[in-house]
Amino acid sequence: MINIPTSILCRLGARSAISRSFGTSVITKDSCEMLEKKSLKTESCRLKYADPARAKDTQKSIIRIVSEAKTPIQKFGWEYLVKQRGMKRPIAPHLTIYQPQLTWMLSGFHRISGCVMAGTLLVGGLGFAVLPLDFTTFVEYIRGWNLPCAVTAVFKYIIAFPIIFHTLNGIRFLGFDLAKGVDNIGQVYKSGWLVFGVSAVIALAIVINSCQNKSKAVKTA
Amino acid sequence: MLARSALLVHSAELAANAARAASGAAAAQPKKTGNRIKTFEIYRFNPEAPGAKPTIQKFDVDLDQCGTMILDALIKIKNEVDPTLTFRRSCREGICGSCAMNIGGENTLACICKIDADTSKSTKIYPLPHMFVVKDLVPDMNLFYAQYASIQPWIQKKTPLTLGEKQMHQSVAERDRLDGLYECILCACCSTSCPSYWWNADKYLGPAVLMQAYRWVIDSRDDYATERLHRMHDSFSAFKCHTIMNCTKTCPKHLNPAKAIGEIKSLLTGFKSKPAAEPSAF
Repeated sequence: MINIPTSILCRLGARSAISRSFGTSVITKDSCEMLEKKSLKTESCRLKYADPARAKDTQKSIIRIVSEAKTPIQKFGWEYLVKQRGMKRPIAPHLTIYQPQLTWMLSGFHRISGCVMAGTLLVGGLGFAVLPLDFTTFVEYIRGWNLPCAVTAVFKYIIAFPIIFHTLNGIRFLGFDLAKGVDNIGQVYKSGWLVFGVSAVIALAIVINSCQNKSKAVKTA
Repeated sequence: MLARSALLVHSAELAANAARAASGAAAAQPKKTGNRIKTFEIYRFNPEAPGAKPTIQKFDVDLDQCGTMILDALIKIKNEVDPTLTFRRSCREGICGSCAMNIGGENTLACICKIDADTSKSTKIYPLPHMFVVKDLVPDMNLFYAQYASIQPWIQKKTPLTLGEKQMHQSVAERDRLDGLYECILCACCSTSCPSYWWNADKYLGPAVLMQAYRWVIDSRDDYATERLHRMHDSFSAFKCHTIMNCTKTCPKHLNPAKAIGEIKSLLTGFKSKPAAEPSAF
């Protein structure tokens, strides 16, 4: 929140003075009016009220700020939702009744795995920074339990699978964003099962490999 | 205890049926007998009853006395059992898009969706997911239509045009680009299958509208592609698509909204650009 808007503003080059004074806020309608009052009229502010035909000629980075304002249909959409809620109309059931399909199941797992991994990284990172133990001692401590390979393998798999799946499926989704690999629903399903299967196999290979390494280490010791 | 609660449920059903019989012409539904009795579980909501909550009502239909499609069963129930059952329908052949609803967990058109002949399982019928319900299976479509209007779905020229003077030339290749886009019947099955649209219906245009937006952006005869794209250049209108692909999976006309959105994103990010119109041969 602090960095992104500043960087956008910084990309405006000559307008770096504004980035200093309004460094931490996205340009909203209010701040635009404020700027105008201070007679600091900027290209980005005037653009908000300009026609789209003019806007396209200017820097691409400006367009991102302009887009923070709602489009007319988005304003209408919000008013519509408020009005419908006021009428106390029920919302038709959705998540709970929709048929589980590979399409949205993989997408859901992609998002959840991403969130969980990011959360783990954040909590773990902060935890090891704050608590009086570091990662290496933590791992050595767990190794000291001498858990059977079958138990550790399960945990290793739970850690390895989301990492690999998220990476591979991320590439698949980037393709979709560029209209690649979406010529028909069959293609989407094929790539979906492929990504799921390949990540399962790779995760399994990693776990088996680490178990073998462990048993070798035990034998040599 | 179990038997008594079952009895209670049964008597409640009887009371509801009796109330319905009093209001309409139909008598309480008699127990169906036959070889192929199929149960339909249908979402009901009556806006006229104060404080009414949505309910699921079961209807038994003898498949030997009924047409093959879900819409046939709905019409049969409305005609013979409960005239208050409310749903939209018009063409009964999959071209008007009126009878779009969620059948067996998937959005499709009731008129071209065959009844599952397995009578051991019931078929569940809901309105289009995450739409505001007007009554029973009828959702409010006003936002969807307003979003469609917002993309200005008509041809726009920068040069003055006298209608009837000459043709607007289009090569075979240019015309081919519109295939798979113009066939959309705006039934909203895809938009209402999209979790992104469920959570952001106000800001995200949804697959159906975006596919139509692309249909006008890519049309070689239209001169306003840049302006059309500019209207969707914010972080929600088009970019709220998270490539979930439910739209393409569910489309009853077997179109591909997901690909059209991918093309829009490519145009918006500059990975692709609209091909220049081929010069007219006459």
